[in-house]
Amino acid sequence: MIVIDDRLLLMVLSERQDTELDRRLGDALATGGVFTTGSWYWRLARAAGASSMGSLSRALSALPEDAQQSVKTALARLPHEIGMMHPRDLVPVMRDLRGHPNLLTAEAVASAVVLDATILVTTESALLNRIATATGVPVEIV
Amino acid sequence: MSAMGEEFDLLVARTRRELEARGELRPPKTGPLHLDLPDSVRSALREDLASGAYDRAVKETTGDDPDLNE
Repeated sequence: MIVIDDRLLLMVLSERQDTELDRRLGDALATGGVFTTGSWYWRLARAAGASSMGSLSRALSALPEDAQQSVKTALARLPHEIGMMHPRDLVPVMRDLRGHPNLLTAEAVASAVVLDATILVTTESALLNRIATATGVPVEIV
Repeated sequence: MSAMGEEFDLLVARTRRELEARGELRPPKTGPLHLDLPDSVRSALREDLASGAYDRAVKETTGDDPDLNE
């Protein structure tokens, strides 16, 4: 079981099989083993509509209006094949984490500890490493 | 007992049991996605990831929010 960050979530949504990492994520999807968090999902949903996403903006503008809307909807809605824990279950665990995690870190570590999962990220984070280590949750940077 | 102590371990175990009882220890569906995105969009997403455009977009939309940054 893995809990993935927003960049990996974007890789999953692009549904490519270009790399070894793509195949690893695809295998995990096939067995219902991919979760993400509300913070990472929120970060992706907001960033996907930003002007900095130059390639995406150009690709969208080349599509008919209705297709543009379909793509925007698809990117904004988390597919059911990707799990996300409900705050009702997560917050009590987040509350008891030691070390003053921020929201993003608390959600990730709490999700991983309940799911007995590894956190898979693309960026090194001292805060995430510290809180995850204190909680016994593995973090892998890919 | 984990490094977090007995109370925390009991909380985690209880949460897992409740999730399992509701069938929520796995996502609602399994298997590959079927988003039906055009190839041009799939490629564009990868380009924006590789070029750093996605990271700039995150910076643009989350700013210095301490709760949403690593």
